[in-house]
Amino acid sequence: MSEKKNIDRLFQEKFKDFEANPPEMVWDDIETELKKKQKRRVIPLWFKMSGVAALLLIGLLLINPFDTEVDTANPVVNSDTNTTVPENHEPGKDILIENRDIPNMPAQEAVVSNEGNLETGTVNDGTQKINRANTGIKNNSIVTNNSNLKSTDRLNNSIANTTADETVKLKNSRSENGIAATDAVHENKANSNIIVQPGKVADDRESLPPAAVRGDESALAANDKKVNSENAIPENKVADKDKVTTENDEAIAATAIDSTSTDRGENELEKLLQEKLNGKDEEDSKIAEQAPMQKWNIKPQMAPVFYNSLSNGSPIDEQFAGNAKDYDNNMSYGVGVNYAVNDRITIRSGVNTLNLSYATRGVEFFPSMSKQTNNISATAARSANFVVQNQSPENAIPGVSAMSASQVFKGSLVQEMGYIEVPVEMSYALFTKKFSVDVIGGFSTLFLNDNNVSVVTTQGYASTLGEADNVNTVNFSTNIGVGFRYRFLKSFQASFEPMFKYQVNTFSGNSGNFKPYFIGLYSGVSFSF
Amino acid sequence: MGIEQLIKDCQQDSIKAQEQLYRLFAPKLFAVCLKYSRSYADAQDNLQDGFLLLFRKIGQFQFKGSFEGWAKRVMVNNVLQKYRSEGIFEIVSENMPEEAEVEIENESISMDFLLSIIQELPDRYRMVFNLYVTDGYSHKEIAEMLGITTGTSKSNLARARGILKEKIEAQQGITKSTYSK
Repeated sequence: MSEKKNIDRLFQEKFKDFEANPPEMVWDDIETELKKKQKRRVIPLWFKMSGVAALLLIGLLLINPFDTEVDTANPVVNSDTNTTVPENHEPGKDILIENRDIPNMPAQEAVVSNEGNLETGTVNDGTQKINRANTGIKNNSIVTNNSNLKSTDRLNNSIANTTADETVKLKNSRSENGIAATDAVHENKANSNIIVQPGKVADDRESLPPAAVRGDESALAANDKKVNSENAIPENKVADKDKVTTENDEAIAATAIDSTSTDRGENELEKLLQEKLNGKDEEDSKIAEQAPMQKWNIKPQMAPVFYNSLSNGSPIDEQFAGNAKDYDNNMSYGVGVNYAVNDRITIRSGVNTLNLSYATRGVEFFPSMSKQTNNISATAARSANFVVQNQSPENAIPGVSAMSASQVFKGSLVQEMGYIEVPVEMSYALFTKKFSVDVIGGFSTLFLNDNNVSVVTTQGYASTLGEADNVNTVNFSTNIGVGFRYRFLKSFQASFEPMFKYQVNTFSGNSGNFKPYFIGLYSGVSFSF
Repeated sequence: MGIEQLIKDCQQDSIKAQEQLYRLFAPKLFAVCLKYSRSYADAQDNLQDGFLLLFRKIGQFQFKGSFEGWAKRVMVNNVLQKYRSEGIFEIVSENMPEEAEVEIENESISMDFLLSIIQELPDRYRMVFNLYVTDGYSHKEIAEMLGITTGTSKSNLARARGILKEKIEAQQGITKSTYSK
């Protein structure tokens, strides 16, 4: 039987419920692709992180929360202590940790900051002086309040003396062995116990007549200056400090501090001063110049870059995995921007150029109209289409090759990649002196900005083939390294940083298990501000 | 697990859910690919790429309308995109307005045969014919999807019909053809 049918209807009817089971391999392929994607997705998290870190850095640059200006005219504000402390607290860190259980933090910080100043020598910076004076005022004004001292002169005395006393004592404890240190801590405890709880501190201070406090401040500043200028002359210092200590004793008696502990403080003080006389002053005062920490640091840098692969692969195609490869050494140039969170931890970023050039030796290539080499796509600039393949023994013998020998060139395949590298790293200073050593870790985001594949014959003739398809435009590296810094001027440091950077996600698709890394010997001169 | 939950899990990139969804829809979507592609092998490729695209875009599915309809559109668009990027839509439009009717032997025409003659159609004829006839798009919609004019769409359709008719008739061994009205 036959019937007439409109073509449309025929197909509509036939295809209405048409279903077809695809072969199982389709899902297998989809699954591998999906899994690959999920694996890849791990890395964009880094991308986000580096974005966040960059934002953080920019935010820090704009807001600069660690660098609140010190209001010298209004020393009574509680926050002054807090804001000035980060600048100074680092050298006295050990003590700070030991004393962590001490309830009165403002007092503690003041002590620590003073200690820090002395530890790094005499502080010549006017602001710092006043800071110290201020912190002194805070603690001691409370103390004097408690002991109901009424005379402003007395108050001044006790402030100045106790400040000096505390600093000196702490310094002593540092120069002594561990037992002495703990003693000093106990003394601190004794001191701080007398001082009122933080909450009360503010109250007490507020209850002080502002004029009196102002007076204290100027008197203190004067006192301080005196002490500092005396410090400059070591001979005088012993005597002066002794005087100070005896005065301290009075003050401490007035503020009801255990006199035995201050006596010990006096002895320790002498030892310390003796030590200081023995030539430590010079170095210390130099370091003291750096005492106001400079947070930002900009560093033009350059590095010879050595690179290689952790595995025997090819950056361009699997078939070249076994070939010998040359890695041209290159230079990386850039600018680093560092932000010091404190004087040990630094967040580092910047921009570097990075050029890598891999040469695969032992290949042969011939012009072809129809064939292409894997992973290489032509660019417009290219003049001829070459098929690149491994040199095979048969082809080495003329006549056996399908191509006539004259058409086949022997040489090497050169793959060049240029990147803009944006590192986000953190460094930790193992010690911070004139000469410092850092441990650096982090990662870089690499943006591909140059991608070129060419062939070079053994005679030296070169021809560009195009660009590599298997290179990701954005990839990453994990970085570890060690940094050596030498401060030769107040704001200038020379640095040398060997960094090992292991590249991740460099290649897409099959690139013969090539695991590139590079080692950069970064050196530069940084300027702090 | 309902289809909605399955889709939601797919949106969270659960491979398990993705596999279930694939098992559920692959036969229907493979049929779509078969009739829009040039060959069985092409259809396989298109199904794979289409599903990858679908999983990538599944977050955009708003649970409005049927998921099947949405999935089919993704598949069709994927194929169109693919052939468009290959630049095969540059066919000179011909005018051949005619209605085609064929005489067929009972149910003798096999699905495989119909599929094969569809696949043999030039790419654009195949697209237009499928979109218009089997998937019910209007010429206006097709014109937009393919970036052609409605006139071209109409003439492509007519041309496709003509080719299909010839092939069916040839297969049936019937030389006589009937033109409508």
